[in-house]
Amino acid sequence: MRFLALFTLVFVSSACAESAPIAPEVSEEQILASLSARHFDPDRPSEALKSENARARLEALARLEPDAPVHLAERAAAALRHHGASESSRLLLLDLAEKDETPPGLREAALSSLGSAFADREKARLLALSERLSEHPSLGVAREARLLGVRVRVQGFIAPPGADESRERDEGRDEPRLRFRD
Amino acid sequence: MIRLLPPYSFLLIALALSACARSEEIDSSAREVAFLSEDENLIIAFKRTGQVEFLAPIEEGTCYLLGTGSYDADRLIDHDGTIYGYEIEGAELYLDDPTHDLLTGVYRRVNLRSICQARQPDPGENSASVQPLPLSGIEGSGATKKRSAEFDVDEDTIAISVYLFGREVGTRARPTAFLAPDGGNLLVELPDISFCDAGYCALMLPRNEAIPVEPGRYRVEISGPEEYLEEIDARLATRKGAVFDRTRIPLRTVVASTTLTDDEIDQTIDGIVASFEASPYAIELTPTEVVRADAKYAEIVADFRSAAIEELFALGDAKALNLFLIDRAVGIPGLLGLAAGIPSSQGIRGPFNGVIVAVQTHRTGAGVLSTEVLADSSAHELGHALGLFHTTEEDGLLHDPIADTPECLPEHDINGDGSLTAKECEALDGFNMLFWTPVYEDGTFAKQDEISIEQADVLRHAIIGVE
Repeated sequence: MRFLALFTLVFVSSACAESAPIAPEVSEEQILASLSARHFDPDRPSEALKSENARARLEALARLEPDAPVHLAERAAAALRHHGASESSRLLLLDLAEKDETPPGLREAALSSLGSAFADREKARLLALSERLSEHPSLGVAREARLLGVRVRVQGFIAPPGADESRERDEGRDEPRLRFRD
Repeated sequence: MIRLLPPYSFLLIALALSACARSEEIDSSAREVAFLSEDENLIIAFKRTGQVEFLAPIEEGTCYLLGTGSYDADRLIDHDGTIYGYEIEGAELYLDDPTHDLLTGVYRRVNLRSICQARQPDPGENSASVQPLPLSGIEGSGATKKRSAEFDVDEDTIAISVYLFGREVGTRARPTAFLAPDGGNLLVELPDISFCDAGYCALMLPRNEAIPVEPGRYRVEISGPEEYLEEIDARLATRKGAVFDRTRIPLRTVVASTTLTDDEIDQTIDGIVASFEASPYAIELTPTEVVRADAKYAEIVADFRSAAIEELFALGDAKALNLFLIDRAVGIPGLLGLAAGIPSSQGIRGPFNGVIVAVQTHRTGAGVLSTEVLADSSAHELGHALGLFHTTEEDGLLHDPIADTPECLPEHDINGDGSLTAKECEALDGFNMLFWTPVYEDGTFAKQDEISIEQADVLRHAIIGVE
């Protein structure tokens, strides 16, 4: 009986080990190519950007070094919404969103990602941030700040990860575009 | 009166209210009943299916669906099974969030459609090359109905575009047939003749050399729900006469950006003009005066149905390519540029005739601007506005309808990452103006100014082309 239990334990463990996802290697070039598309939709990124291996690079890009392109930083911050389990990503996005020195576009992207993937943690802090920025002179920052506040409030009604419900509501807008045009 | 209720006090008040007034139950036959929060940032909509939706109204005519739950006579239930008490009294919803106290409050009844349904901008003023296209009455039965229009094309006509405008054009109401004089449905033969996006569709000939404009009677059919078909505004743009050896296309630049200097504007325009000079047929973009727009348009929502775009694009010119240089586009992180359509509504001064290009996303973290890349982005978007699609999309499975643009295929994806770079496609269309991405490798930008002969042929048939 003890042998059977041990065997079962080993069998189940090995099965779990085999079924655990192994993050594929993601190259620097692949991350940059995916981020640099003329069309970039943060809610439908390539698999490369969702890979755990891409997270550190996305975080580095989102920090916006002086010689780095702004559009890559904004897109990287937006893509971090797909790393909702990462504490380092959350703290970076919070830092970007809270600092007044952050350029508006990057701040908007950070607020958007915070609302999309991190609204279930430190709710009081996020609500305070939302309130502080909801009348920000940047239209984009103010809009995402208000949206962040709403996401925190309705957190219990947001579907768990894997069942993305976030979409535009107005009748039919969720249909795919025929062609990219940007 | 605005009331924010602490937990539990709500229930006491609700009970007291229910004693003196019969509370209103959700009408299950109603399509939906919706309530707006005191701060106007949240809408709670009760669906007849027993589902409750939480929406954020972010701009006029746009709401985001953020979450859903279920409801019964006096409770909302979230995904964790948490219960929220509610009661409807007249035009007000009283909601109690005993666990988090984040949703507790009074919400006032609103018409969901009036808040969330897309606005319909005025499509704009026609130039002489554009005429109203009368549509038939509503035809057919059932949920999906049809409207149609017929028009005659003479032998002098070398290019036509049919523009359709309406709140749900491109979403719920779409062109389903474009019958050529020989009776063939061009949308079956070449679906890319049609381009649709929210609020706008364009049917364009020629899209390539294989399907030219033929003299005779054309017929367009549009299908969709009756209420959306009724409000469609259809217009016909035509160009008559010869195809020129050198085609000039006026370029009007409207600058809403508050950060661009005059020198940077000049360099950008020069770069755009130079990009088109590479065309095998002579295409000369002729810049007209540069117009400065009010700074309030420097940051703008990237939705061509918005009031702000409608106002800004009123500064455009019906008979020109319209380039709007802004600082930032709201709602799309890292946006470089966006065309209103493929093609844009050339010949009409309105919200679907132009491209927006964001300046700030072309800077580095230190604020250094590359006018060369800004010009490349602008040229790419203007290529869309003139009717060109991406030659190859990211995965190599989708290509433009033009025969002589090389197709970069999945097998060219050397590193197998599912994403074709300009370097991987450099022997093909990697340097074409309409390649899907400007990145070459390790983040550097490719100079993409190649235009194929057939692409150039489409360009020289532009409705706004002149000799």
